[in-house]
Amino acid sequence: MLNLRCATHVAAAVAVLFVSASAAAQAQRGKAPIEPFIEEQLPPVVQVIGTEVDGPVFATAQGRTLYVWPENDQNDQGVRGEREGKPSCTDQVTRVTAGFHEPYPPNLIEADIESRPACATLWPPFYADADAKPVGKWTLVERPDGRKQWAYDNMAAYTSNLDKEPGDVLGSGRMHAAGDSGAKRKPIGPEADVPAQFEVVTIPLGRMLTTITGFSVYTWDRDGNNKSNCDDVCQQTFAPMLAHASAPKARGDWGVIERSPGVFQWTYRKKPLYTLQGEEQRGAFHGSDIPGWRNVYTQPAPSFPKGFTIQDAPGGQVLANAQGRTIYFYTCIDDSLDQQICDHPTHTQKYRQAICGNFDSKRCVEQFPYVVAEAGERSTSKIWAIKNINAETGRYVDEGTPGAQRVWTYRDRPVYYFFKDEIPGDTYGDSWGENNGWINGFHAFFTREEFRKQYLDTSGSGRR
Amino acid sequence: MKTLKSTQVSAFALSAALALMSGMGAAHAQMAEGALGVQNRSIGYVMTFENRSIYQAKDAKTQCPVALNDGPPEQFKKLYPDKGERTVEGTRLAWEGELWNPTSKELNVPYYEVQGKVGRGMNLDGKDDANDYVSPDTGEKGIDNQVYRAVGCTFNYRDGQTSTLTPQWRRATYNIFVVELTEVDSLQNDDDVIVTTYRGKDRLITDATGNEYLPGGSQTLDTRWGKRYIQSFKGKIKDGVLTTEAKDLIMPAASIYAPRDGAPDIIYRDMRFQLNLTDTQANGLMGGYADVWTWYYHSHKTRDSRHQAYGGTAGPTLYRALMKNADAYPDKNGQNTAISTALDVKFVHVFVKHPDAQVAGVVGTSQTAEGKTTDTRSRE
Amino acid sequence: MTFNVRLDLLRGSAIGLLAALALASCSGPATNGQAAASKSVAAVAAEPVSSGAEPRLRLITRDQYLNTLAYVFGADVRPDVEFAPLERVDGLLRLGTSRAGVNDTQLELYQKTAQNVAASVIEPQRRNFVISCKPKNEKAADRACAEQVLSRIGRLMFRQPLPKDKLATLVEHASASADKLEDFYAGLAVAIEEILVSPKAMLIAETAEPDPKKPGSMRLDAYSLASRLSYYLWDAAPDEALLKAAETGEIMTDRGRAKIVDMMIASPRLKDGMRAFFDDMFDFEKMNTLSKDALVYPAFTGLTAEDAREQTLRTVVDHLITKKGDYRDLYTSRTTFLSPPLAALYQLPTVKGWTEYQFPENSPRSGLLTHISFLSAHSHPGRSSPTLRGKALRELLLCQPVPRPPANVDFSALENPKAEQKTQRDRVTFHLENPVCAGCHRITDPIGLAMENFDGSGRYRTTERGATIDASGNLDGKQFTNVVGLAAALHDHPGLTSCLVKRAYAYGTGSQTTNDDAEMLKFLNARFGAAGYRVPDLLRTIALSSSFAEFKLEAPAKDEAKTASAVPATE
Repeated sequence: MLNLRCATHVAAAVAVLFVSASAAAQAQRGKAPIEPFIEEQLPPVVQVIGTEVDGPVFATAQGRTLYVWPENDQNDQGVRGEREGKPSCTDQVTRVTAGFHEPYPPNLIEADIESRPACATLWPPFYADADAKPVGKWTLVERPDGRKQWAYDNMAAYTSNLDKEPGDVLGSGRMHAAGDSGAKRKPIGPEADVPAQFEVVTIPLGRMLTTITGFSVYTWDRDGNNKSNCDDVCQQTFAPMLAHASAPKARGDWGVIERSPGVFQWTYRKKPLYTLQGEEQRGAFHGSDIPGWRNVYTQPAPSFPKGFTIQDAPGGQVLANAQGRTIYFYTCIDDSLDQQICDHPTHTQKYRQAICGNFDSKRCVEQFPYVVAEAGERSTSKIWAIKNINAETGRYVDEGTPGAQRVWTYRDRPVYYFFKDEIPGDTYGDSWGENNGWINGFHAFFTREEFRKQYLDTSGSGRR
Repeated sequence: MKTLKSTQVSAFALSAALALMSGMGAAHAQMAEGALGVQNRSIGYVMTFENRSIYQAKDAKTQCPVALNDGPPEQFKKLYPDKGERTVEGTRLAWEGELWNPTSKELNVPYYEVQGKVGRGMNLDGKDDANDYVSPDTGEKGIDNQVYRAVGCTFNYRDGQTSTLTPQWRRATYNIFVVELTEVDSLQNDDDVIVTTYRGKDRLITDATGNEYLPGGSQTLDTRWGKRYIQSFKGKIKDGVLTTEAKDLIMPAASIYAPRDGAPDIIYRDMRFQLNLTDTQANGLMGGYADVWTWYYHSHKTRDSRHQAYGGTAGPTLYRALMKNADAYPDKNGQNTAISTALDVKFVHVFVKHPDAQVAGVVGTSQTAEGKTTDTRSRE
Repeated sequence: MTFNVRLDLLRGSAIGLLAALALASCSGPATNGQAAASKSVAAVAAEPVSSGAEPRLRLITRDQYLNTLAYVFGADVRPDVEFAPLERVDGLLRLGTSRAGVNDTQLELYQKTAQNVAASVIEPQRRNFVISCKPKNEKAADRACAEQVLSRIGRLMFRQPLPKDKLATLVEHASASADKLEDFYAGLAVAIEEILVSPKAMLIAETAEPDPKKPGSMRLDAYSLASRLSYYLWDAAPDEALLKAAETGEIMTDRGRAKIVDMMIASPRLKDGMRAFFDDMFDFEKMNTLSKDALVYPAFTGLTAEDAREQTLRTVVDHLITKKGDYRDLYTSRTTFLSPPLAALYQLPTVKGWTEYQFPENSPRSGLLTHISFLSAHSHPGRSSPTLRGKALRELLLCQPVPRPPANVDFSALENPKAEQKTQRDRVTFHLENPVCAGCHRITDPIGLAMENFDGSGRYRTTERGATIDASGNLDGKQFTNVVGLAAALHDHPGLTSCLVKRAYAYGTGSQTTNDDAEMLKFLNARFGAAGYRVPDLLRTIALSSSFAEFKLEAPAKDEAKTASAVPATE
């Protein structure tokens, strides 16, 4: 069922300091740490593997992450994505636009039509053998050509042609799921094994623990192991996360202490857990602004490239280079029935080039220069990698190719600066593009949002 | 008044000390319940309404005799008629490319500016130039408001969504705009006051209907994320009207739908205030020269082409109109980069809390969250 | 009094619950017991002999039910359920729980709620942290694991160990369902649902036994005493420690009971219990539906009402429990708590969230009477009401019932005031001039008028329609010029503390007080005063008193001599 051996290379860059005792022990045995999850019945061809930032995901026997494509019809512009039990991503090439993106009409010929791939090329269906049997939430659905495809919760499962190695979650590059931005493919995985008062959300800093209602959870440096020192005065600011009488005193990373007779408090890795009294919105981190208080991560994301900094900006905190210059990512989804993403160097570059420079590649590079890796800089994770790119074409090239730039990439996509940003915290290039930048545009790499009232998720995997 | 203040510093200090000793007042002196006027020589207001000052004549024909402007769908049809195969690249992306990266290329579509001499706003340069307007209310001449000329024939800025949504911006917590008047001796006449702008951190308090804003709320100032919005102006009050010097001002202006999308700040050059003050409200105008770049991109980062289509705002032609009518701050090529404008504004009274200050009556010091941690991950 | 209801025949079924409640609703108020043995003043030094408080059969309240679910299953298990409204008896909703009835619709709601809770308890993401064992095979019954889980849940929900036969039945039901559904957890849910909707869970049925130390007297049995204490002090079912003390019998010894009560009073859960008590005593239920005319009081919103209630409860808990203050000082204290919506109504500065706030010495705000909760709750939607405020002060705080107005009363003078009647004082003068009205209004209006510096929303004012407000008045002969004087007069009024004692005793025992309790109340008053009017001390005295757990039977019929109980302990 669970084949940890397939995940041995995963998350090698996760700092040992962050790793729980049990996870560290696993690592010593040659197995990658994997966040505890609720086990469920799986077909023999499905396994659970760990990833660097997305938590445990379902994967094929070869380790390819599995995705679904749930429908999204939020904007009265037609249903996008798939309905339950109805796979629609096929070998047919969609040639014209669907008219999802107002105010533009349908039936415009898609960009780079000659080389446009079919949906199933980008998202290979997870076919089932003829003798496959449904198990648990895994069922079999029939494709339009009559072949059987595995489905999870009755949604047809696919892999991504961008994922090359076990633990890759590159199929979904966008950082946000905005209502108008179409139907995105989402990696699927098991539920995190945490008490029901909690959940784990994926944010740029890692897999973070929150309450079930989405509020941040904190620990306090002045607490001891399995001992709370938060007195009445302290509790005016922080509220202990109370546990119930039947909670196990210790289970994995979790435990319960009795604050006073009949009053139990949750602990995680032996540290008592709290929420901030009066925290006004989900996704806020105001508790950890107070010295000694910290957010809690089941699995921190790999470190940012050396020299990167985090800067205060009017909207929160953004990732920046050593000089404080804000870093951006690009996101794109096209107007088609198969909702192809167009934000990777292997995809059509027409969308990006229109937005970054009106098809003038020189202007593009001037306005959104790549984040060039210094000579000698090395990547320490899969999620932050260094690639060679041809700035004029926007395509990856081999090292040593004339004109190639060594650039930093996140989820295998280049990151950028913006030409108008002058001082640390400037984010003038944010939301630059169509639909506030969400269907074809650039966004500042926020690591903390003060005003959005929800968590940034890094892959579109959402909460699990 | 200025002379009086400078000579009375020691007297004020002495009286403050005596008040402290007698327990009647102090740095944290508590005000009587319901007293919303000037206290400790300060008063705060928070903005509850903001709209671009666009005069609308009873008969729009006198201002826009030909028509109101086309929006994205109308321009699209004219630029890319449905004749044979059309590509995404040659139509939609060409148009969006021009919107996000305008060129000097001639566009073969019409664009209409406001006609006539009547318009609202402020005389920013003290002159009465050929392009200036005459106030329909006071007859004042020399009013500088070229934004009005550039967008006054666009439905969005008249009765359309931009004009109806802009007043609601200030509900968004990103946009809470606070002014604090200090060194105030009287809200009627005072030659020398300081006006400082801030971003506030607290929600506006509304009445039972949810539509009107109540005076007497509190605003804790955002001195961390909102540092760039802290700007001070020298001002004076005459017959209850505050006027200030002209200085550059950055205003947060997020869309009400996307709380921070677009880093939506608008930079104003030579901005100044003209507000009628009472204990509970401050209403009037703000006027200055909007930086064309931030004004234009703010418009499209907060409302995309789909939404702009509802009110006839077409980016490529709008940009050209703004650049054509820009009337200040020329660049090295002589192209003006800023355009005169005015904002109709309303504020209500708020108690202003500086992050480090004790609030009168509030007991104890709760832990504040003004730290600047960059990595709050537990290392367990 | 006995309830010879054969709940054992109906166990586990919703019908059983309905039948039990129908009978419970027929029970009258407490019967008279023997008169107090001693009426001498000297007896206040020691607890007088009293008739005591009989066992009761009460419907669990919504909050008690939810608090118990949270304790057993987790704070996130909080079904959205409304229980039927209760009748307020002698100033307390709590006393109405023994008169409650349940109709079919309500019953269906309980059933549905139990079903939802049971289903959520066995959800994969919850079961690992609630179900204490793992079945050998998730697709089949596992009797040992089911028994372990059900005995624990049943004990906490029933507030006593499950009888062996009941447990066996539950395990049988869980196992049969598990086998049938091929799912251990689904089977378990069937039995958990059965526990949750059982009369044993939904009804708090106290049982008694002969008191071995006092022949002729009865006492609550150990588990009933644990429940009574727990609902009194924590507004929740007994926890493991209490049940253990009941199981071992420790709670039935003087020393053991004192230890338990001290532990309960020291627990932070006492704050929950006291919030429930004062919410009930102050009749804050009406804050749920309090609304004001938006044109007259634009600053009063739904949020204001919610926060006003919270402000007072926070103030009460902070003063009485955290700071262990004198109860009387609640009515003069200038310390309270503010939230931004409230601060806007007070027109005072504040910061985010709830903060402790100290009104200045010269402020007209002095004590709970000047809280927005009291002032707004006892006003009309569009105007203040000296009469309603005076009546509330009398009834809620002094336990002095004010008669209802006669049916043929003419309100026109009030509703259509003359132009020269600018202030409320001008208008209500009519009351005092009209002999039909004057009898009652003399006891309400002179105190209510002292609160006229606050309008119907609770906002401070000095004038009304341009006329200066005269806020003078008197409380039972004590004159004052404004509400601060009224607060001081109330502080020193003997009825203030005796009313709290009466309410606290009735709330704890679940019984309406009668003349027979006079000596006991006198004793409690004396002890309360001697302890400096500290509420935790009062709670302790009541919880440790004989009359809290013992009672005397009226001449019993022969066949009832051995046991007295609200329901037989046969389930």
